[in-house]
Amino acid sequence: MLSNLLKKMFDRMDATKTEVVFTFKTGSETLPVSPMGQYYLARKLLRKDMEELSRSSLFAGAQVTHEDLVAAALETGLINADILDSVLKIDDIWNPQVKPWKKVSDYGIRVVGTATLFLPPPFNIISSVALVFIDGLMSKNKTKSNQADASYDIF
Amino acid sequence: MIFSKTISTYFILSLFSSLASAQVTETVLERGNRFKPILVQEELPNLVSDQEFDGKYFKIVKGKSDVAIPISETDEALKLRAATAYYHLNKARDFWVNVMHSDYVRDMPKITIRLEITNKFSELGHFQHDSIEPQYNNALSIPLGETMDGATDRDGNPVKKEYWGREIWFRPVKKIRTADLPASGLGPGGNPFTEYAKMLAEPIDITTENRFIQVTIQKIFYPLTLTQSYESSVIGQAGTFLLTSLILEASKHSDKFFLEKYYYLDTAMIPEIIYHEYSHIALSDHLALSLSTPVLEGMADYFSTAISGDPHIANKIKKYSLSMPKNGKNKTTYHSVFETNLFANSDFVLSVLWSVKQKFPTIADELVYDARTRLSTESSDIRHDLINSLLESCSKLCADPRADRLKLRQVFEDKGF
Repeated sequence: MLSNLLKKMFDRMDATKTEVVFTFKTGSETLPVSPMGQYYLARKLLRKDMEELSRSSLFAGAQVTHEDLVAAALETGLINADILDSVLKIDDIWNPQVKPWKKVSDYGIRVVGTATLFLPPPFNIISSVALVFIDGLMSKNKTKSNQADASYDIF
Repeated sequence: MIFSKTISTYFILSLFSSLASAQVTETVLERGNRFKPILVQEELPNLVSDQEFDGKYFKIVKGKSDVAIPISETDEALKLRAATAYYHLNKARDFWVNVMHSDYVRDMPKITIRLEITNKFSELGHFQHDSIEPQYNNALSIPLGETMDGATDRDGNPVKKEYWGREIWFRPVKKIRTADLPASGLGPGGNPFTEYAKMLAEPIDITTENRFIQVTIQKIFYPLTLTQSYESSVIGQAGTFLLTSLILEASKHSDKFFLEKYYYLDTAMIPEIIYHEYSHIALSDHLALSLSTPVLEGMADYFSTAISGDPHIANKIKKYSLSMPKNGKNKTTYHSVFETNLFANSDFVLSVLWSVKQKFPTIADELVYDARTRLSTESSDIRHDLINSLLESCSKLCADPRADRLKLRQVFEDKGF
């Protein structure tokens, strides 16, 4: 059952065509979903399916986690070790993995950023400049983006 | 009898040797260590004559001429361009025939390569008139064609019917002041200084505002805690605000300081541009040479890097180019503006396809090559058609389509799609 949720997600991702149809009182509007929109939608629907399964009488409120699905899919042979990393990454949209050094640096920047507020001018400006410069350099290497909210896509 | 037999044997041997490859070694520009350009002696493959740059697959001519440039050409710069273009075109053809197994390229008739041609291309008459906007600093792949029936010249005289095969035109190099180039249409402020100024201005403004609120609250409720006069503190904050606004505005007018003073591109001397143009020809079985689009240029860029073995194009070659090099490892993420033809020569599509190559090093070339069969020059975009086509190619060619399509989608996700 758990494994089927993941299978359903793969089937949705690999569907030949996905459309959103609005049916009005008079006529309808059909919006094609882009290939990546289909991918994001399939991931979101997996989350929804997991929530529904958790609420079903079978699971009696016990939370179904992404790891449970992956373990079940491995056991049933739906996925193999080669694809494990990619399947685990599907959950990153809700639970992005943050490296320990990133947590420390984020905390440090927050503390220093707040502290600059209490420095007299022009030291507050100099500190801000330095902070933004460091942050800019660090964010230059960020490739991860959450394009699900992008205005040119519906999912 | 013996004499006549000797003569005929000599004649046959002479004929054979003229059809077989002539052995000529010339100086060509190659990529050396760390991708730096070097001049080396290389044998020019597949020449049919040791007198001119005329081979089995390519004939190098100057301008509108149909006569091949002689090996004994006295203009050394032209000779170097001819040898470099000829050498790298053969290398590119070798890749398409022996690595990509392209029957289309294998069976393709000889291509004419025009160096130092300034004429614009006309689909109806091959060359536009010499006086019409001479072209410099670029290269162009020409589809085969014929002059229009009933065409006349400027004086109304009928023009002789002419047919031409596939060609590649390399324009002459010309130094142009960057300030004289047409505007990119992107507006001012596209320089890194403005980008940093914008990043700085926002937190500084917030800090200034907070500081103003803080001293005002102190002045009203805790006047004894003020370490300096309220007025001088407010003037200081206002000054800071004005200064950052001034810097931001001034930075928008500093684009020219971040550009090279001159622009030039010696296309026949840059191996990756030669590979790029030949890749256009090789892909033209499905991607017509009718328009310059981001998908079309990106595909040609990709195969240019595949042939050269390096994700950079026109890099470290300042003696021959001061234009913007392209980087397959560019981390830029997707923006819908990359779909416009204004960005046809940006390196975004190249970086997407190069990401695919990094994930699927063994089959990426095949994936991208197969993807072309579902794309068209006129109507294909990046976000829908290129991605869909690559996913479909993966369904056909990947070892584990379900797993590999997921990996492919995650590559696209990382590129901001």
